[in-house]
Amino acid sequence: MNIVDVAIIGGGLHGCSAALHLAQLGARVVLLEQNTLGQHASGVNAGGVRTLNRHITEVPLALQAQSMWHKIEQLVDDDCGFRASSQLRLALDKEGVVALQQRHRQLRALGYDHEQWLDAAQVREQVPEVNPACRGGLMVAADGHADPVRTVTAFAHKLQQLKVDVRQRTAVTNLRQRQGQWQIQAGTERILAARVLNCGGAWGDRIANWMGDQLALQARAPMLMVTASIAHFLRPVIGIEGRMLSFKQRSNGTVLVGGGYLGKADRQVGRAQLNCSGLRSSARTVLEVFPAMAGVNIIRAWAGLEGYTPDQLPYLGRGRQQGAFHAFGFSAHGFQLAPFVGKIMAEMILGENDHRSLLQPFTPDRLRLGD
Amino acid sequence: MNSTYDLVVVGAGPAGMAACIQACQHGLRVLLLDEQDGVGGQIYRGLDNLSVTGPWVDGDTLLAGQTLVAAWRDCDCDYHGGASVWNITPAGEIGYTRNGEARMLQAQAIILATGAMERPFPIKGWTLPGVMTVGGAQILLKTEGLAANHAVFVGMGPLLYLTAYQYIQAGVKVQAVLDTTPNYGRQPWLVVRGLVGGAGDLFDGIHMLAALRRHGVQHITRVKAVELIGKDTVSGLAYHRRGRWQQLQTEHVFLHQGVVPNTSLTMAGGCEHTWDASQLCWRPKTDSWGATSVKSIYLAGDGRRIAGARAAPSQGALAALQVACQLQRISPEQRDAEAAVWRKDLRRATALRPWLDAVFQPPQSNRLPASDATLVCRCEEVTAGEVKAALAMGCPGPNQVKSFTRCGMGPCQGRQCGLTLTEMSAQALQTSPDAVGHLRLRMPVKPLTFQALANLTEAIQENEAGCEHR
Repeated sequence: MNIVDVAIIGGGLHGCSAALHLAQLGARVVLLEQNTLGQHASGVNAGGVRTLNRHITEVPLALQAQSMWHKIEQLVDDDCGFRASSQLRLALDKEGVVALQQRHRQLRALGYDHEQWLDAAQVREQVPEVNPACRGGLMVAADGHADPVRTVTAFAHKLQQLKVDVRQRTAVTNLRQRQGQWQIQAGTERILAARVLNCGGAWGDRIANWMGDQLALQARAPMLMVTASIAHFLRPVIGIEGRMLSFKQRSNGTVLVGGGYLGKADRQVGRAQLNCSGLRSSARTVLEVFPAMAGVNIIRAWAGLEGYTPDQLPYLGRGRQQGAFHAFGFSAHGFQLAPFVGKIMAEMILGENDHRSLLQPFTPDRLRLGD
Repeated sequence: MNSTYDLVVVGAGPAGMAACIQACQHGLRVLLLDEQDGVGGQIYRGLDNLSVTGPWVDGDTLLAGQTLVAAWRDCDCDYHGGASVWNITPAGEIGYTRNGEARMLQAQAIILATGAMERPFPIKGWTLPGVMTVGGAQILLKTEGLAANHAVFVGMGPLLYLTAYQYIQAGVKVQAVLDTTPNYGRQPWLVVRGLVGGAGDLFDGIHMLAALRRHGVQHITRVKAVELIGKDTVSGLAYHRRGRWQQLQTEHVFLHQGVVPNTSLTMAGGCEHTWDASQLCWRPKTDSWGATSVKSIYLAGDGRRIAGARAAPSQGALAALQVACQLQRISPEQRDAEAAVWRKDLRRATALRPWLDAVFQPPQSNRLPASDATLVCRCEEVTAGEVKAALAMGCPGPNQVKSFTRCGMGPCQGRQCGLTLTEMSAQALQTSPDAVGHLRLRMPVKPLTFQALANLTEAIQENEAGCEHR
């Protein structure tokens, strides 16, 4: 029998980050992963480190996370491939301009000044290759991108260094609370934990169910494509108002295209199937913004499994039962948040700081089913 | 999306052509897609164009190929040459590019007859300019008439000797053939003759041996190890034989150690694969008809398991019979009755196979890089040392090594390094290749431009307009 302070279920980046912060605060932690660390959304996402165009509710978390990314090396002894290359969200038409300027005003009214309006000429200065029809856009200079696999690896190394008990290929098959303790059946082992943190990603609703919380979640599979390596032409990460596109050139010259077109998720086997119609839409959007990409070869496409909540905001906070906590359902924009969310969840779990004002909007209670 | 085709056959080699012929006989609407401009596959490359004859086409090959091509011409299938298939799905969808235009079709069934590819040969210097595969050298000779003088052929298997022989017949000087077969037998030419004989009496091994000798080609056997030498391009090679190292100067080296099933499309299509311990490669799991684990996808020919050109037509016909039965065009009884003759033919064509597999098993020293500096992945330039380090760090298999090192992430998607990576993983983790698995392959298995993808037509009613029937 293994007795710990906190058992974390799910070894994605959020599980790793929470484990890291909990261990640094002196807690005894076990991290349980059904497969390998960062295998799904955490390892195969587009690596965007973005505060730009965040849901207003998420902005405070994203800004705090951003400052952590700028010194991520202090946390995990590696820069995780993070580059503050800036992110731009462009308007291709009048409607786009209206929407982005409205957002800009809304942010300023709330006291945020991290997003900056660029007119058409300023955009072309940043991105000479962009379609000349582009009318302007919003930019966050301190945003950028990181390497997801390298990030997961860095967190995993740090956990190893802190001697955190990480169990890969260890599926949780049962979980129940008895006499103020959580009994967890993980592989062949029984674990007793005072508290459980559910970082189950696309499987988070199932784990929540065992914990006595019925939380709606849909497993989806956003698709990505990558090109052969081409000459460097683009520094910022590009998004488009009113279109589904995330577009970046990585340091090795390959171009990564995402944006949220969905494949078919199958979480039973832990795989996703690609959908060619969606990829075609993605390619059309790319050509609309960067006509010069027409002859560039796509060499691979893939999709990762991710959990989406009904309002596309994560579940962060306490469950109904004593010692139950959730941090999942990031709805395809959790990568950037991980260093900071792991920190505040750790502080909340250990009773050091409830972070009420930060976390209240994300309480699982807001969408609880079946009451 | 629906389609007017019952069956799409991919690959116009002997297996694919035979599948078309058989399926059409039972009234199926068939489309044949092939990457080349003419039918014939690798073995009968260029044979449908009667103006192409050369010293490398002997009489028997010409006859066998032309007979099959003629029978195929008489069948009712539609045909798209120059079509590069970049995806298939369990739903029977086929994505392909032709003349720069991408299309997506859907059929009730797909028969893949996409054949074999050359096994990687990851020895020191194998990526130097001036080094290419024997198969590549043969294609240049057959299609472009291009050849390099004083080349050295290194490796094992019939294609090595066949191509060296074809070089000589084309009037090109060959410097040497280095044979790396372990336990090189007392009657090596019978081995070669046996294989080629089993593949359709393509040529006579003893005749070929005499030709090599007559043209002054050095024939060096029992070569234990080879390293290619050169700075910017290959300038020579060193080989280990009978306990000592010797050198040859050359500017052209052609490598070959057998062929393995081309599993790109079956992997992208989600078919289950298994490690073939006698052929040392992945092959899709199939039943005796060639049906894979995915209901709509069938296999025929060397893509199923290396069996040679003579076995291919039988496999194509058997797969087509099963498709016709599944689509209820023929009864199981009729299927079995018609299959009997093909099964008999297939047994004859593959009788020598276990023995050949044993003789032509390439040695471990040429499959697993001896030096840490040797490149495993050419596209991303990942060395054996980097792969070993990732495995030592705890990567449990090829896909994790790929994530950490980018090995297999380049444009070829691991077609060149996949087998090496699987075998290195299994060795490092002291387990079986099946336990570590294979690289996941994803569409597009052939590069696809943004323009082509953006204009992708989910083509259905385009048969009248876009499809020529020879």
